[in-house]
Amino acid sequence: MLNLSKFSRKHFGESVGKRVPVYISTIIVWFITGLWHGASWNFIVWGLMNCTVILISQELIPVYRAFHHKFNIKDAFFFRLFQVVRTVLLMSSIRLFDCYRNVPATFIMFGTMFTRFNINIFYNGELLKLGLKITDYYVLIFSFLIIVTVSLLQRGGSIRKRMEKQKIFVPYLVYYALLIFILIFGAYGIGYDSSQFIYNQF
Amino acid sequence: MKNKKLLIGLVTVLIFVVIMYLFQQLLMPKYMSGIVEGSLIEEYYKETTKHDVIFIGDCEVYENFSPITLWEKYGITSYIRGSAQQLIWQSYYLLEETLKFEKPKIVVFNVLSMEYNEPQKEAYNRMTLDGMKLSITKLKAIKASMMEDESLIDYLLPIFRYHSRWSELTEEDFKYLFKKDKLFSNGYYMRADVKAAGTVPAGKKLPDYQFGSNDYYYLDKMVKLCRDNNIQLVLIKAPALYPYWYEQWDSQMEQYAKANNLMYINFLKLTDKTGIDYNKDTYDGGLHLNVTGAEKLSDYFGNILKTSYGLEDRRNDEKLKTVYQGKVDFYNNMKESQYKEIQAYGYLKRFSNINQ
Repeated sequence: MLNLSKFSRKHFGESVGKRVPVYISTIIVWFITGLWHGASWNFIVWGLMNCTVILISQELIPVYRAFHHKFNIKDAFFFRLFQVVRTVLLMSSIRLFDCYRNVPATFIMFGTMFTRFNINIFYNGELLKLGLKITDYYVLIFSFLIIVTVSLLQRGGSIRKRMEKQKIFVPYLVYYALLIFILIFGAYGIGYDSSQFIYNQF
Repeated sequence: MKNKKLLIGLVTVLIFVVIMYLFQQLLMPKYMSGIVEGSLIEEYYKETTKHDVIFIGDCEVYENFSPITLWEKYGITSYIRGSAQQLIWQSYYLLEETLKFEKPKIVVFNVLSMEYNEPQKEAYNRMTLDGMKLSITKLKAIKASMMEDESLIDYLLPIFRYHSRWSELTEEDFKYLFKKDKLFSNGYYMRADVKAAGTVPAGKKLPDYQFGSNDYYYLDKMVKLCRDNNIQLVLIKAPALYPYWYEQWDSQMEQYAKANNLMYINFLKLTDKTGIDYNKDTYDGGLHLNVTGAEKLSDYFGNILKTSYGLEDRRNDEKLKTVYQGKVDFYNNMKESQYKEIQAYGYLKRFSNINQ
């Protein structure tokens, strides 16, 4: 890699040459990460999409810097909220590759989010026909809130370490409550077919 | 300090186990109304007296024979360890288990389950196996019964199987959390309603009428188990019109009985002797007998058992007398309440699916 770095800097110039080995290694890493998830184009494209997001972010660092230099909103609540929502949506979009049959279908389905206006599915019961009951949605929403809360709390340091400083029954209570929650509300066992749901038609 | 921590850890683990146990009790199906057949197996453990006759097999035993009639007419003590679609390996292991508690003189096995050489359905496995007390025998029964997608841990810790019932819990699940009602008379599932049988079409032709090797393996084991324990094994085919009982099957059983020196009775061929009237004595068009049919059949069969095996009349035994008085009362009350219900609603509401 060191040789490659020297070689490319010599031939492409300092600015581009410095990037070539970084680009090549990032692409290889994410290609293999995708392949590791499964030998299908869905996973490979999933990996490369992650790679793309990372490389674009890296390339845009000067733009971000200029932006923050001009507007002093880095620590504003709404800007931070925007950052969180942006990253979640971005990562969720990439995750769509897990859900659809193949790569073209994923792009088409992603596109229909913007082209097909069907907001009425939220109240006409259409969502209940997908295989999740209303009670399952409650669990989903509740669990999502827990994840978001913990994730936000973690910004102030490991929540586990902070919990251990509390009275001894606090961590026990939390661990057992979580364990019971997963055992009862988890989606597993007979009557639940994981291959039918997330890894659709693989 | 270290001891204290250990103690706290142990106590919390204990609390956790208790909570999990309570959740498990809550989430398991109760089988107290609707599909009550799931309660059959565990009701046996409440018995306080021993039995001279044990029936094993599927619905063709627990809906067609009435131990109370056997008691009232002949003083025979009997219990039906039947369950829904009980397969022959399950019958075998239930017998093995029963022999740990008592040693009957006669075991009656209904041969319909010979038609199934492999496990059939998870739901039926559950109804037979979940009610069994934990023992090596139960483990063997589970191993013999599991379908491909089932696993042992789901039987040992049923919460893994039933956890998703959390969204379907009803009042019944809370009401019967710790204690279940008695529903059966010595394993007999009474039905007082009537639905006449029409004409019976001939059975669909089968590619092969030979019973499977797995069936014979367990039948042989059953014969041996009975012989080792000095028990008379009686093979029967209950007089149910469906599922169709083929002539080719019947002759295999006849041959087997002959070769092993066993009694085999096909009640389908004895309708004129048992007096069963398929217009009145069945509650579902000939699949199962109702209480009038079961009483007729038990009367006839009791006489055979009495004369062929010289079973003792136990009606003078003081202890049994009191116990069975209670059972007879329960039986009569059940019959009366079912007739009342039929009169009020036109059908037996308690056994119809509550969700419908």
